[in-house]
Formats: sequence, structure tokens, C-alpha cells
Amino acid sequence: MFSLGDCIERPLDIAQLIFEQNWNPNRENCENQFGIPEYFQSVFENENDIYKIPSLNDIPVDQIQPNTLVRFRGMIQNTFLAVELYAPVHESLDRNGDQTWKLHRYQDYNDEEQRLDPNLEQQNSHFDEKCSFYVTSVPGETEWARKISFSIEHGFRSEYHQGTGTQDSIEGLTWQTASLSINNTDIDKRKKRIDSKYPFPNEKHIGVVVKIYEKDVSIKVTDVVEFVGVLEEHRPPPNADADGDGFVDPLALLSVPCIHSIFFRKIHPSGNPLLRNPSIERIVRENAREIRRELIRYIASVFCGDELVAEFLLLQLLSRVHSRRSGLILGKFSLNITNISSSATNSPMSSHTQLSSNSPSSTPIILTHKPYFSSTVSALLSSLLPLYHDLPLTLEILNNVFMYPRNLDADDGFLESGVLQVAEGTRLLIDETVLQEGKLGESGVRNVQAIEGILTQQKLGYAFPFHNFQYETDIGVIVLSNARSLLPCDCTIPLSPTDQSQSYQLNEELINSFRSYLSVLRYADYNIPEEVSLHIQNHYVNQRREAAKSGNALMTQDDLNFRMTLARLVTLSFNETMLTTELWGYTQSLDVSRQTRINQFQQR
Amino acid sequence: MSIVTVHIDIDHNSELEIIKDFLLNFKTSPPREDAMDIDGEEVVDNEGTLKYRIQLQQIANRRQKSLCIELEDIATFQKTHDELFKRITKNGKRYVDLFCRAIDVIMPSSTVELSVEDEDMDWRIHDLTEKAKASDQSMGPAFPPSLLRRYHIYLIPSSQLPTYAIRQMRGDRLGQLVIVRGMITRVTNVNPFVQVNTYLCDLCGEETFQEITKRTFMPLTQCTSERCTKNSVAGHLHMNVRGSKFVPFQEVKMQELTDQVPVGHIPRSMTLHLYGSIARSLNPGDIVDVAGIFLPIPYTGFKALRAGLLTDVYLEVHNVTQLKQQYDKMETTPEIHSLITKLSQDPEVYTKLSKSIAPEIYGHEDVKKALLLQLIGGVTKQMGDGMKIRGDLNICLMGDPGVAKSQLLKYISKAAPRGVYTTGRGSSGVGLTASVSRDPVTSEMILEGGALVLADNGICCIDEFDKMDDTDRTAIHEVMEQQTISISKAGITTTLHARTSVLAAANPLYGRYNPKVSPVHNINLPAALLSRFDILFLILDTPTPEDDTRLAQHITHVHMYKKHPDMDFESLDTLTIRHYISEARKKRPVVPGDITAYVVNAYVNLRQKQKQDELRQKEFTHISPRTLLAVLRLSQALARLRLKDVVDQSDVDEALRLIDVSKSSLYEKRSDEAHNIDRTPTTALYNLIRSMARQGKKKGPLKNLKYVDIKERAIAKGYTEQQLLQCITEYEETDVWTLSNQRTKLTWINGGGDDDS
Repeated sequence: MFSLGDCIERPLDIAQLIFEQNWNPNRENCENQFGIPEYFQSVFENENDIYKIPSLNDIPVDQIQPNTLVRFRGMIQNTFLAVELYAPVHESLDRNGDQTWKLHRYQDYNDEEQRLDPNLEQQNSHFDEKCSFYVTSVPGETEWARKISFSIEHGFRSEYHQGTGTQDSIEGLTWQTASLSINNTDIDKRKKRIDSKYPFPNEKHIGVVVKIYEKDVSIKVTDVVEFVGVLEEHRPPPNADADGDGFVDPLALLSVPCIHSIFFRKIHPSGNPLLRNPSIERIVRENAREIRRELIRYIASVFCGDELVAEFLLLQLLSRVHSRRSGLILGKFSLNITNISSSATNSPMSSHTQLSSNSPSSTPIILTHKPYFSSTVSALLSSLLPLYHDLPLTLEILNNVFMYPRNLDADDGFLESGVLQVAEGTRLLIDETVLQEGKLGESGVRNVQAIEGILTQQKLGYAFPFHNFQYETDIGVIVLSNARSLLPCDCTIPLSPTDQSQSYQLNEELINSFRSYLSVLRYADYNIPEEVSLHIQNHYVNQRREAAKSGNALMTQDDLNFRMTLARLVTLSFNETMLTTELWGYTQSLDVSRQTRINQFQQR
Repeated sequence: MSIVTVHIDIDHNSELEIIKDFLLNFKTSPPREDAMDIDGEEVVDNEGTLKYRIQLQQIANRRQKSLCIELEDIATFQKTHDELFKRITKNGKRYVDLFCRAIDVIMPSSTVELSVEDEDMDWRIHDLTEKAKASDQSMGPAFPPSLLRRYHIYLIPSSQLPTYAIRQMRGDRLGQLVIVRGMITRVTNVNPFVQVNTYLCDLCGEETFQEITKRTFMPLTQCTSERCTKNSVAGHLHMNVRGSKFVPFQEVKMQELTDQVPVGHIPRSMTLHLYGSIARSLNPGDIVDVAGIFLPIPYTGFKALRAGLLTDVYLEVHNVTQLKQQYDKMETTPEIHSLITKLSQDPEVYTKLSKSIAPEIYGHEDVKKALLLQLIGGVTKQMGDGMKIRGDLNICLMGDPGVAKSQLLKYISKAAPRGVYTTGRGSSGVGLTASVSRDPVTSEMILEGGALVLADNGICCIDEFDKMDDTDRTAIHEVMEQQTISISKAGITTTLHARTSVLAAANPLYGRYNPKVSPVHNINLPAALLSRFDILFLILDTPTPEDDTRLAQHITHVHMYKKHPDMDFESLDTLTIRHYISEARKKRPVVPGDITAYVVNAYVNLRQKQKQDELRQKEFTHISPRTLLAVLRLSQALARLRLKDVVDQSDVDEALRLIDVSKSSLYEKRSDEAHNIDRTPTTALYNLIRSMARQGKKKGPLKNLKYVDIKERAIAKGYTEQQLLQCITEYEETDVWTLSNQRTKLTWINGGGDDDS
């Protein structure tokens, strides 16, 4: 009916036309969407067609015409910025003075208002509500993931919009233009407001307000969603102190682009753009064992040739919370790699590391690892994962950066973000080696508690006045520490450097297969057959009996739980879907060698 | 702005008549004898008073400033006016105005003379009314009627109206009278809100009135009085503050409660407007049901220039109901009531309830039973001389790591209406009891309650009790016996109530229980503190093939099917447990004389056993008079659980069993040693059956017992039928008794259990 170009350039006109087709003034039904989302969805059914819509992720907002169709891929930061009532349908008079029906969706302001007849409006308006969400660029999206999704989409875009440069520079640009039209005194204040809504401090990002017209939306906080909708015309924000007393309107103070969502789609939680290629899963599954071997060697090359640590790290990267029911959390697997200091000093850069860690605190805090060893691990993880971020655990950061989102004294709707408000599947590398003795303030204690909540419950409490709302998370945590970490991790393993550490030769194809391997197998199916279950039960009972006789440590309920989790990851890593007695045996030997190593280190 | 609330087919004049009729003639129904639970009805209101007419007179006499109109009264006034009641709910704002207009007409004149104590405004109103009468409506400045209204009308909706969450307040509820539940998060200062602005002309001295209905208004500047227009001079108007009418106004933010927010969503909030005497009735942190009219507020200022079709909303508050979360304040619905009655008749109620405690934790049946009794609690007694005997039960769980102590604690802290969870290491003595701090703004000293004070009338769960500093433990001594906290800090000396049960969890001294040393050495707590616990559970992690298998089955099942195995019973939800407990706590069971003797006897036996244990250096806990009290408290809790008013012997038996079983895993540890107490279900059931036989008749023990009776008693005490059958079979084999083929009758072979007494 309409061309793709029309849909992109004149979405409001098309919405009005579809509305006129489906609207019947006698049937006072404003609840429905008049088939508009369905129509747009059908136009952009083809994945490649969606890419033709200009995306705010890589085109600065001031280069896009307002009231055209745009895309934005981001993480939901707040599902309640504001709720507005509006009249979805109103009668208006056209130039001849005849009555017409106007759709008032997908825009906030109506330029034809002068022609409204107040009497007609009185009798026919019906109120509906739209809800504003705050969406930020996906926190912790790694360089390669951005580049790949950019290059995939770029090919289709040229027709309608010429994107310039990589996303990095665009985020910087948008970040600055967001507060362009304000006088200088306000810039700092506004920038701070926008910044506080992104999990990581002092990093470039884009914030967008999305207005949702559907009711009972299934989108949750920290979901990664791609919105397609109409870009609202950018308007200068009102004077902040205009209203004086009373509560300030949160939307007015945020000077960020605004999209009226027509439809949206959730992005696969892996966040890996390589998975958009449908054949990738087959390729990964065919070569799984080979990739696994190579990947362990690649990880080990960073961990001073320690293949046991490398294997546990690999299993960590495959883990996710796969089941959560009435207090039961299955699949969480936080890894603590200890004995870092001795191996870090082996590095040629160690003297330099010492200096840089004592940097003056006057510079703005940026969460990146400075010591040599943790920065190499960080480089390794960000080369493998689509969603990853550093988290150095210094006293300064613990006391000054908030880990949990909070809305305590700020204005209504202003939920400030925290480092842990990240999308499902994000990995954090916590470096505890930089932690020194000192005093932890109140916010520091709360921050540590928030991290502990992630590690033990995979839950994050958002601080509201008088409430603490718990939100479910799935954040993979890897802790580097000298001795056993102060954070309660599921699994501890000391690093035992071998001399034969060699650098690993990588090519683009190989690293892409690593990336796909991790993303595909993390979401693979898994089953335990009945007979294997029996085998495990017998194993447990026997172990306890033997241990009691010989006076060794008993295997506890927690140990069994942990090994069951480990067995799942082992099975997945070999591209199997069924646990077998052999795989269980392999898991046991893996865990036993870990235990032996812990005992060795304790004796030292 | 466009609000579709006006129903064209309603005639305002006829509505006005109905309202007038209602206000003048409504009589409260004479209170019935059996309807004592209707609160809010004052003694004055008996024998069908003219409820609103009396109040109107009070208002006229300047003794009352608000008029609360209960919509239930309108509904009951005349059945024909049922429709009016509905219309008010649909279009509250309009009817507030109609009520005002009706009252203007029927307002009685004051029966009390104005006096010096009355406010300026009252004098003014008096003057104005006199003036109006004198001028006889023919001329003179028209002043808005609202200037004379020195009352505020509040509509109180019927309590049967559904309560909404903030996110259910959608556009279609605009204009309606609704009840919304939430938590107050912020309040502004109370400011005067001008309702009628009065101006004086500097030339002619004429008063001009301006009625204000919006939040912003344009002040008048030009005098429009007859004199000024006649003389064609432009008189300047000056605002006369004393002559204007102000009402207190407060803006409040309310936020959704945890259970109203869908998973993964951010709680929404809503603005409330409070006018008149209702202002200041809300404080931050209150959980409230707010009744009010849901209204739109047009954007003002910059936004209004272009956002013609957008609007913000607020709730004009008419009534506030504070909600409390305590046992005695819980509201029971008929469904819950019937559920509880059904439950109380269930012989297995004890087992059912205890199994429903922390259902995801496997095993630990006896611990859960004790925790259930802790939730119920014993009876607190106030002696004539002011001495108080505590009824709250204190429990300590001591055990090896990894036996789910912390999970149990966390569950209880959530299930109890006022539960606080804290760790011994995490909280200093100050954090547990109370602290004195200086307010940074006013530099006044403030007393802040710690965990124990916060858990007043609830349960304080303290994890890692053994890791606590000695100084902190001393504070707990006082709480656990006297149930108060004395503070003498920074010039403040006071005693705070801490009527709390303490549930503590501790690890043995060496991390794991060491069977080679005596129990006292394993338990790293002073005897004075230990004796304050009614029950000290020792949970050891000992490998036993049966238990291990069951546990392994449980865990593998969880990992296989991603859920807990189906339980052989349906666990009750927390709400039902809470309601049952609240019902049970209403009972105050007494201990009859013969039971007292029984308890004393049991206590003497315990003391003797204690002596033997001491000789063998194996004493576990000290048996002191406090133990006697513990037995009584547990028995009372058990009687409460059955919703009975009298403690009977089976309650005492169960209490003794629990105290004994709390140490059982200690005895299992050295099962190689012969010890004389056998508390397996089989033996316990045998004792039970034997006591039944003895109780039966005075002349001698019964020879035959009905199986049905035995089963009932056994199940009521928490045993399963399987255990009972096992017991019967076991003793059958040793020719103690025989069970008839149809399983109806149990016959003693050797004359009614007199064998070994």
C-alpha cells in the first residue's frame, strides 16, 4: 500500500490514513491501536528492511528529520518516567469547516490546535494513557559487538541515511548535543542528570525517552529492546525553576531525544550480533569440541598457561541463571580466581602497575582496570563477550560510585542508575587486588551488600524511599583476588602459573567462532536422565560414608548443588544435551583437582 | 480542559432536593446489641440520631470544620436513592459542589454568640451575612458563596469499593471517587491555598471578590464597582489578606507497594492533593488506603502552550485509612475465616502448618515445629505486683555449616509480621538495641531504634550469634528476659519496649561440632545466655545413608526438573499461616491443676537426668527453673495452636519431646554409647498408647483400645499413620498387643500396659 520510504519518512501521515480506515466514530473504542503497529510490523517484516530505518545508535539525532521513523536499540533503565493522559482521537475542523477525526498518537504536540473546536472536543474526547520509559545505550556493549552490528546494518542503510563514522564517535557527539540548546549554567546540571541514569560513571552513552502506547507491556527493567517509532521534534527545555514549589516534571528537565514507539522487539539476551546469521549455530555445533580446546588454550595464554583456571573460566562464561522458582536459583556460577599478586609481579610491567594504581583521586572515576594482569584479562574477556565491563574494587570507587539504582531524594521518576543495573548476561570482572585497607562509608557498605546480593541471590535491590524493591538479575561475576575474596563466590580457584605460557595467534575467523560458541551454547538445552540421577545419588551417599570413615571432609548439600551446576556447564561445553556418567565423572575430576589445588595453597 | 464526566440526563435541581432531604432527615439506625464491632459510631449516635443535621448545627456554631459524608449512609437512607450513591461515586467533584449548595440553603443559624475566642474570619462571615440580609439581595457586591463556607466536605466511600493500585488508575477512572493503596514517600509543607481572594479599591473602598479554583490565577487590578465605573476613574485594587479565604493545602507523593508492582517494573507514583483539615494526616512511610477523586490537572506555563491534549492527574484526597501489619490489626475476610475454621478442625493442623514453614528447605521437621510455636508464642502474664512473665519463645539453632540455618532465619523474618533479620557480626550493640544521635538540622538528640526495638511484638532473627561481641550480648540478656532495653547515653535515660522473640543461629566453636569434646566446650556461649533460650536445637551434619539418599534425590530432582519435588502435602501460603497464627494468638490458654503436677514431675525428672549427665561430663544444657517456664510456654503455644483455652497433657508431652529432640542429633553422634532415653517415634507412640490405656478407666487400664482413637491421637501429635503401624507391628512381634484383622481394635496381651510401670 505504502512504500518503505513513505513509512520511514511520513509515519504520522500513514498512521492517520490507517486510522481513518479502521476508525468508526460510533463505536467509541479508543482502546485499540487501529491496527497501526500491525501494519508497520508487516511492512518491516524482513530483517533487512528494518535495517533501513535510521538508528539513533549510529546517527546523531540532529541529523535526522523529526517526525520520521527511527530505531533505537537500548537497555530499559526505568519503566516509569511518567504517565501522561492524552486524548487519542479528537474531532477537528478542516479548512472548509467540516468535521474530521484526527488521530493523536505518536506525537505530543499538535500544530493544528488552533483549528480545534472546543465544543466538539468536550463531548468526544476519551482519555488514554501513554507511559514513558527511559532507555540508555546497552551498557557494557563491547567494541567488536558494536562494530559487527554496525557493519551488518550499514549495508542496507545508504538509501535513506548516510551514517558517519563508528558508533563510538556518535555516542560522544550525541552525548554533547543532548544539552546543546541550554545556556551554560544549566549544562552541567543536565549532563549530570543524564549521566546518573547510565550505570557506568563518566562514559559516553545515549539516553532516549520512549513513549509506549500499549498497555500491559511485557518489557522489564534491564531488558534490551529495539524500538521502532516516530522521532519527536526536539524542543528547548523549559526553565528549570519555572514552577517554583511543587514537584518538577521529570520529562521536561531531561533534554534527550524522544521516540514514540510504534512497535518494539526484544533482543536475544546473548546480545551477540553474530547470531543474526542463522547458519552460525550449525557451524558452532559441528566444531564445538575443537573450538573448546582452542578457546581453553587462548584463555590459558592470558592466565600464565594455567589450563585448569582457563577451563573454569570457560565454564563461567557459559553459565546463566536458567531457572528461578520460589526462592530457587539454578545456574548461577560466580568464579573467584585467587593468587593473582604473585603471578602479576611476574609481568614485565609490574613496576609501572604499582605507580599507576596510586594515581591521584582528583580525576573523574572511570571504571577500568589499571594493573597489568587484570587489564589483560579484561582485554581477553572484552574480545570474547558482547556484554562486558570492568569493575575495580577500590575504596574510592566503593565509597563514591553507586552500585545499585536508587530514587531517594531526587525528583519523582528520576531513578538513578547503578553499576549493577546492567542487561541480562553481562559479565563483570571485579579486581579485588587493588583494594586496600581503609574505611568504608555507609554507601560503601551498601555497595558491598549489593554485590553480595548479586553473588548469592542474583537479585539487586533498587532503593526507593522506605522500600527496597528486589529485581532479578543475571550477571556473571569473575573476581580476581590475592587470597580468598571477601565476596561470597560459588567457586574459588587459585591460579598456578606455569612457565610455558606462550602468546596465542588469533585470526578474525577463530575469535568469531569463540564468540559464537559462547553465545550459542550458553542457551542450549540440557537434561539429566533418570539413571544418571541415580548414579549421582549413590555417588553422594557413598562419598559421605567413605569420608566419615576416613575422617575426611564430608560432601555437603552445597557441594552437591555446586557440582550439579558444574556438570551442566561441562555438558554444554562439549555440545551435549544429556548428562552422562562419563561427563559426571569428568566434572568430579575437574572439581577434585580444584579442591586439591586449594588444599595445596592452604598448606603453603 | 475536556473531561467527560457530566451526564446530561441528570437534573441538578432534583439532585439538590434529594441531597437536602438526606442531610436534614438522615437518621442512623439504632445500634443493635450484637453489632458492637461497628467502630466510629459515637455514643451520641444511638437511637437514630439526625446524624448530619446535628453536625450542621455544630458547623454553624463554629465547633466543627469538616463534614464527612459517608456514602454508605446515602445508600441506606432510602433504597430509591441507590442511584444517587452510584452517581456520586462516578462524579465526585460535581457532587461536592452540589452538597455545598444544598448546605448553603439549609444551614441552620448559629445558636452560639460570637465571642472573642472565635477567629477573625468568623466575625467577617458574620458581618457579611448581616450585610447580605440588610441589602436584601437587591444590590451590593456579589460575594462567592464559598467565602462563607467555613467547612470542608469529605466524601467517604463505602468500604466495599475495591482498592486499586496506582497503575490501575487509568484514564477511564477520571472524575471517579476511588480508593487507592500505596506508601507515602514525600510530603510538601502545608501551604495556604487561596479559595477566595478579596480586594479593596483604593478609591471607592468597595470590596471585590475573586473565586479561585485553579492553582494559578491572574490577580484583578482594576476596580469594577458601580461607583468607580460611574465616576469613570480607574481605582486600583489591593489584595486584602485578612478578608480572603485560605485553606491548608498539601501535596503528597504516594508510591506503589512491593506486591502491586509486576516483576521487573519500576514502582509508579501518584500525586495527592490534600485540602482542609485532612492536610498533615499523612507522613512519609505510611502505608495507607486513600479515598479520593481522580482528577486531571492541565499543564501550566510552557507546556500548556502546545500540549493541548495532554494532561497530568492527581487524586483529591477525601479520606485516609492507615494500614497496619500486626497480628491483632489484621483484617480477616469471610473466606479466610472459613479457611481457618476448616484448618482448626483438621487433626493434622500441627504437621501441616509446621511443614509449610520454609517448604523449600528439606527435612528439619522438629525445628520447623519449634519455629511454628515461636511464631505463635506463649502467654505473657502481668502479675499483680507489676512483674511480667514473658510469653515470647526464644530459640537458638546451633549447628554445622550448611544445614540451612540462615535460610530458616530469613524465612521466619519474612513470615513474622514484624521480623527483622540481622547478623551478629554485621550489627554492633548499638545497631541491635538503640542509638542516640544528633539531628544534623535541629541539633536535637534523637533516639533511633535498632533491630531489637524494631522487632517489638515480632521476631528478631540474629544470625552468627556466636560472632557477636560480649558487650552486645549483655544487651541481649535484658531483652530476652525482661523484654526492655534500657538506654543511658548522652543524657538520655529511658527504657524502650522490646517485646520480641529472639531466634538465633550459631556455629559451634570450631566451625564444626567436635564430638570428642564435651558439648559445653563446643557451644561457645555463656550459660547465662543459653538458659534464656527456651529451646536450643543442635543440628549436626552426620552421614546417614537414608537421609543422604533422600537429600541427594531432592537435589538431583531440582536440577532435573528445575523445581522442587512435589510434596506429599499442599503447603499453605504465608498469608494463611499468618492468619491462623493471628487467630491462635487470640487465645489465652490456662494450665489446669493436674497438668501442673504433671509438669512439675517431668521437671524433677529432667533435673535428675541433668545430674547424671553432669557426672558424666556430658551435660548439654543446664536445666534451670527457666526450663520449667519454657515447657509451660511451649505447651501454651501448642494449646493455642489447637485453638483451645486449656492446656492438656498431650501438649506438655509434645513440649517435652521437642526439648528432648533438640539434642537428639547429639546423642546420635555417640550412639555407640548406651543411653537410656529412646525418643524414636516407635517408643513415643508406644508411650502414647499406653497412657491412653491408663487414662481410660479408673478401675484399671483398658484392655482394648479402638484403632480409630489411637490414630486420631497419634496424628494430632504429628505422627504419620505409617509410623503408627510400624510401632504396632514392632510391639506385636514381641507379643505386647495384637491388632485385630480389620484394624479396628488393639488388644493388650498382658493386661493394659501395666507391665513395666
